[in-house]
Amino acid sequence: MRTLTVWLAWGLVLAGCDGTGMPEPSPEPEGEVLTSVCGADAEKTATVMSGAYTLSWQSEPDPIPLNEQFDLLVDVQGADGAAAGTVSLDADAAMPQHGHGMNTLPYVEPDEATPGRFVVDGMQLHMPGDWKLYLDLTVGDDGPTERATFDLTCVE
Amino acid sequence: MRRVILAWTLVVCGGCPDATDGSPPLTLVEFSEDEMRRVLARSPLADAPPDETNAWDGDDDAVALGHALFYEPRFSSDGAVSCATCHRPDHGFADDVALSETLGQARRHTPGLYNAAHGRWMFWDGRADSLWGQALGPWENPAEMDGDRVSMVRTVTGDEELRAAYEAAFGALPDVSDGDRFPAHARPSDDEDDPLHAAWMGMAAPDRQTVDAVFVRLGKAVAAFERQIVSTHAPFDTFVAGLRDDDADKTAALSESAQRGLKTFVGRGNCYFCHTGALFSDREFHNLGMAGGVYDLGRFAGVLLLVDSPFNAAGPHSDDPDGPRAERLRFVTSTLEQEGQFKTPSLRNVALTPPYMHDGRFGTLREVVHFYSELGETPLAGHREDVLIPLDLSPQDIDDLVAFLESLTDEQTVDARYLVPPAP
Repeated sequence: MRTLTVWLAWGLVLAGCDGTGMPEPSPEPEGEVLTSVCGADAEKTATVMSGAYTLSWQSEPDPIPLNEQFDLLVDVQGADGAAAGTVSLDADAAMPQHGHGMNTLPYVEPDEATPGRFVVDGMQLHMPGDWKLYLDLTVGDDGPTERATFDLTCVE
Repeated sequence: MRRVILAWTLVVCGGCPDATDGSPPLTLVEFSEDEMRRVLARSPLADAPPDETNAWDGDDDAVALGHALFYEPRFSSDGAVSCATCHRPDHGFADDVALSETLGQARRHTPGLYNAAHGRWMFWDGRADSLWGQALGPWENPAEMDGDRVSMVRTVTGDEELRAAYEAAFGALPDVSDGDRFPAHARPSDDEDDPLHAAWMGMAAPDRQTVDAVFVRLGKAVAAFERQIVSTHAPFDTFVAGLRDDDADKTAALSESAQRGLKTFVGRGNCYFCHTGALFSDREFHNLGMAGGVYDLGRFAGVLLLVDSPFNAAGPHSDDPDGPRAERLRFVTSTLEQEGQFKTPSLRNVALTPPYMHDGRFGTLREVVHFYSELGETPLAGHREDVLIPLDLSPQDIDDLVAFLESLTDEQTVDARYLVPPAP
């Protein structure tokens, strides 16, 4: 939200330059201005397997810091809204335009205290630009597996 | 905050002369919104984060010992090579040749040490994860100082000044005078035919641990010293301070050419992708697609060495084996994607440290910028970052980028006494 505030402020600043050399007065933004974060405006929920499962994620810390390790909490719900049972999760991220992924290998473990929740530990988006977050859900021991993809933009 | 926004307003409207008071414009070129945000993100450089794996990080006595050890040649097998031989204080603490030649020839170029304490990983391939872990390597590398840890401990215990400096920082030294237990020279080695390795393995395990404990503390003292080698007040920093303070006198610290180079750096040059933040480095690893030279796995092999090292942040010699640096080790990975990757160097004081790249192949900054302009090479190892595309820079563009890189030079922040050996 803080980043969004900055963008809005910038838009107003730009709009205020009318070519006469007299910019309009700029509104003063609130909060921190300079932050390097990822996915500030990202979608955080997706459905897979024709709507049979819904995945939603939250980062820790939030927002995701650029080039620092962070965790994800991923909740998986069935179509009835209840926590999913016999499913497993894999997580990864990549920069398709750069042809590479992360420099870390995250671990995914179920949160024993919260049914349907997985903890992804060791994520790191080390470059500014456009990332894809991949959450692969597998039902049962042998599949099927389907991927949910989320767009994350890292801004420095 | 208000002043920042005022500055941005003027800069974004850089083409609009300030008609209100006739004062000179803050910048001589226009920066877009994204470019200006990236400019501001690159200064000031904060203090380096503490290294909890080194309990003596910031300790004045350890700094004093490390200062002496950095310039100590008796740790080398010929008594003539010290850290400062290759990390030359008169050359940005780097070497002026592509590959240092001391007791042998180094595999990679000796990097500079300014702001090294900001590093997440050490060496070009990141095979150490602390400054102290890095310092231990060249002392025993046969191609560098070719020393050995037992003789190093003997040198410290036998030298009145070094002994006093050590004991001021770390307490009493152990007694290593028994030649039957502590041979004159011994070190572990991957080369089992190395007689020094045989001597090391012939020592009792508790005696090896005694030597290792001192050896590691010598490294931690050098790390404490290296933290003092900082550079934070380059003309570029004055320029950014001028943007924040709405002070055209300060922004004049960058010439128009350097400002154009900066605009390319944070804009179409895409340099900002890897040279991020106020360190001008993301502290991570990338494959630039260098052709020729020696085949080098880079980070791919570096990860394996790091994980196996007894001197990593999670190891028995770490003062914070469960802390954040150790935690980071859990997630490192060695995949083919990392083949040919090398650490992004900081660009602060880069003009002081030619030649450039991991193998020192480019003698000037102009050659480096020209490389990024052309990229007409087939990578020898791995694959080049796809974001790297030929920039097709004009000669003026290249001049401008070089002028900007030269504006990152600051030799004044570091304490001048650290540029020479300590007074006896």
